[in-house]
Amino acid sequence: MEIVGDNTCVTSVVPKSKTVLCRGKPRKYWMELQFVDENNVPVSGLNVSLEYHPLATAAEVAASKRFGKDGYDPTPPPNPPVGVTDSQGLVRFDNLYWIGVNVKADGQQLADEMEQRPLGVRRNPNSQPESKNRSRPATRDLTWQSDVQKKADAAGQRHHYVTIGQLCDRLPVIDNCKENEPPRFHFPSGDVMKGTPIAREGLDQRHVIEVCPFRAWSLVLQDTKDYSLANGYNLGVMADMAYAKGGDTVIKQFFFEQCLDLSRTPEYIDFPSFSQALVVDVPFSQRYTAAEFLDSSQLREGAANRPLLDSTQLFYVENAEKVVVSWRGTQEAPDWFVDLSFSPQRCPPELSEAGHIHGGFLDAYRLAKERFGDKFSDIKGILDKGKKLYICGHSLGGALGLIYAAEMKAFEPLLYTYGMPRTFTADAVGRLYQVTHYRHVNDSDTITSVPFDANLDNWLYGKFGPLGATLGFFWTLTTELPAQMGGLYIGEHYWHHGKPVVFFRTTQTGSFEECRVMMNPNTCRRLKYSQQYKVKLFLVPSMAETESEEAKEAQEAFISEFPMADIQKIFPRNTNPAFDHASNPARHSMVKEYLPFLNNQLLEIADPERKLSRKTYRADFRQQMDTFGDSSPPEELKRNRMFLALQDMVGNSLIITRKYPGGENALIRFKSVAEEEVELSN
Amino acid sequence: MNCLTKTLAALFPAIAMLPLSGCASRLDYTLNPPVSNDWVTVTVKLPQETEALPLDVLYRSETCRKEVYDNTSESHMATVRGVNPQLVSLSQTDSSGYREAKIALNGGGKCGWKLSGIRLGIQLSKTSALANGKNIISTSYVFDFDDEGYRNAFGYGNPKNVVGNLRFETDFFPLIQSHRDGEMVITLFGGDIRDEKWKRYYRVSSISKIVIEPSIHMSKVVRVVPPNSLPGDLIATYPDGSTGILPYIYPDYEKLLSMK
Repeated sequence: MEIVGDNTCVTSVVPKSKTVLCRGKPRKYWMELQFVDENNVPVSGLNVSLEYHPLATAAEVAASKRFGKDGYDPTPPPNPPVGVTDSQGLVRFDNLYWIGVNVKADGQQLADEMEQRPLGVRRNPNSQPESKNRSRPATRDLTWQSDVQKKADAAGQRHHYVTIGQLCDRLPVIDNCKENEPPRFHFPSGDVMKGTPIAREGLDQRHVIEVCPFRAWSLVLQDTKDYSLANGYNLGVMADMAYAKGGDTVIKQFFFEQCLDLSRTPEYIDFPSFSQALVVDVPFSQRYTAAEFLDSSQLREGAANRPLLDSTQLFYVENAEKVVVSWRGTQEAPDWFVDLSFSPQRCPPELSEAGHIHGGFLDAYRLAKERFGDKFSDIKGILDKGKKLYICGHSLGGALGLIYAAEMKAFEPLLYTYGMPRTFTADAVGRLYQVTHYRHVNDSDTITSVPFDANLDNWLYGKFGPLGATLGFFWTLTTELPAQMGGLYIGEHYWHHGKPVVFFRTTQTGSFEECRVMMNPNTCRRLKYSQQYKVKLFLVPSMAETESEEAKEAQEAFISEFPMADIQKIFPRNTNPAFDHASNPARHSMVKEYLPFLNNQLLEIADPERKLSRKTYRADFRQQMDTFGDSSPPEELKRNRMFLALQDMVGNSLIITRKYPGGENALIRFKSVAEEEVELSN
Repeated sequence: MNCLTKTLAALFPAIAMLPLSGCASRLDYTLNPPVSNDWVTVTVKLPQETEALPLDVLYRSETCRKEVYDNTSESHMATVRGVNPQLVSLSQTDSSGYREAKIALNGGGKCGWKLSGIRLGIQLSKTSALANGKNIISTSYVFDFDDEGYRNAFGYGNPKNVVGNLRFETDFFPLIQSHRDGEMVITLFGGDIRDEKWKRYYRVSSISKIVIEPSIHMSKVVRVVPPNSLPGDLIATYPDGSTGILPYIYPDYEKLLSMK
């Protein structure tokens, strides 16, 4: 473009206008846009349009009107034609004016495509939406760079990290979306579709536009009959969340805000436990769509014939593949477990055709079940479609969870309980074989041994000990089993249901000989003492009978060293093993005992290189066994060897998690945010 | 011997705690509404073969607070507003078929109870031929009078904000649902409650009258059955014999409305 005449300007007290002519065409510019996802995979076939910015702001136009008659017309020239990205995700625009642009893409096309793209492993802290909560400001780390950005910088290209809301030209249709506002993370400016601005200085350059996939977090929960540590941990966090004082505000925040915020993985803080959820990213349409909290303390029972033991609280959440129902228990040392007014009641037919149930637990369950009937029926409707049901609960919540699992047994629920009391009598327990139940017992947690099972520990042995071997390890209950054993049942005693997962604080006994007269054996006696190092071990006895191919080898090696009969002796079915420590209600706490231990076990397996104090304790204990083993009772030594072998096998419970789509990334993200927690509260 | 020791050891904490129980201060649940009070009147008229459950009424109190266990301090330091749930029966049917209940906004009493929520459940009566052999499940109208209300109980999602009196003439259709485990339930269906349009959960203010006079189309039954293979979609059979798969778990309400 050529300029004719003198276009210099001199300000003076008497300004005069001057006409300057432009001849020829103005210079044109180009711009290249490359659309990629977080893994630097191109987004091809995308319709991209550019919109010129207005030539002046409204304020500038108003100012110009004060001088000229018509003012200044800010209308930009017509927008360039729509481009389509090629196989490299690249689209080039030529003949652009020297004007800033907004980049927009076809909203529906972009949303549909980005739903299918997995997230990169590392999360961008700067993408977190502005926080509405002043005490918890949004995270910002200006030094953070994505992998895509590092590459673009190295190639001298401009980089932009955007969510789909910053590109969409219209709001895409979102499945199951009943909310009024689009999700905040993906649509930071609500339903205003502004596009991504690029100033005119960015012309004549290539821009890499890294688009955050249209995804959401989903808890890793696995539909497997084997023990899964991922399930154990996540359902533990859920069981803890049922205690949230804020009720629905807390769970809605977790499932509808944190699970949609991809700038970090969701966490649940319940001091002293900082639980980082183990999550995978799923297409946005598979996000959590329902999260409801139900509290029966807000109801009055119609016919209050019996005093109610407690109110019942639970919450449920739903996403595309599952429903989780979590029941609240009691964190306090409860007073109901010795209350004799709650005698066993005959099981209602929907729970079990025979046997009895703890009356107080049943009443608490029924109140919630009857009054929230519409919601329980909706849950059944959801399950009718084939979604998987996961149930969890701590303490009384575990008992309620088991009752609910009994009612829902046709849907083959997976139940994970933590420190639950005995709930059903033997006859009923035998009829709940469809329920896959892992019952976590934290060492000598008192609650897990109530109501008392009379002389069950000893009785069980005398009666069933030899039978166990023929029926398989742990006497896996099958349909025919109750019939075979019918005559042997004792109807009125409470039994535990499910396979135990025991956090066992193991000691080693030493002994020495003390003689009053030296060298005279007649004056000697053996004294026993507990040796210095104790260690808390994560024992999943059922791992010795796993059916998974991957763990087969470890299992066979284990069984050849420790015969079934030995294992059964230590972990008798339907009751707790004999612990090395006296019963202690302090072992019952979900946040101080169960959750930290699950957290640490998961962290140890997810991050084998990390230094952890639990590993040091275990090494010390092994050393102690080697050094002082001779002075320990041989039975105990053998038991402790078996325990350590079982501890070593826990890692196998994550094999399936690593195979789960996105599972490996879930573990990497977990270990980058999780910390070792204190395992023993006092 | 071993067993006895264990039993005693297990009992010990329980025994130690026995003196502690029973000392918790009892809340005064008596309601004593002042004479000059604001009331909300709930009036219900239902057709034959249906019944209204006693009203669930919830009062809360700022002064009589409930202590809740707090993990951080391991004590009952934290408190929440005390709750006082009540069941209020509707009056006998009057000559025009209406039943009503008057609920005080200010429950009075030593605790100064304030109305927080009302829920009306309606359902098919047990004597109804349709309900024979099925579990009857009630359908709710829920009204919150403060921001908490029945949010953690009967409410679903977020309530709709409304100011002033309310009158409902909802169309309900009997819905018979067969579940995969063989259970049959019957309920009155009035639309997908997740939908703003059909939601029956309200945050009310400046209200003195709620009239509920629904039309229940007893002969227009919709049936829902589970899919043949899993995972799959639920299948509805509408009163005109047509069938359709359900995007979620609820039949197409607009379609039902076109058949009434």
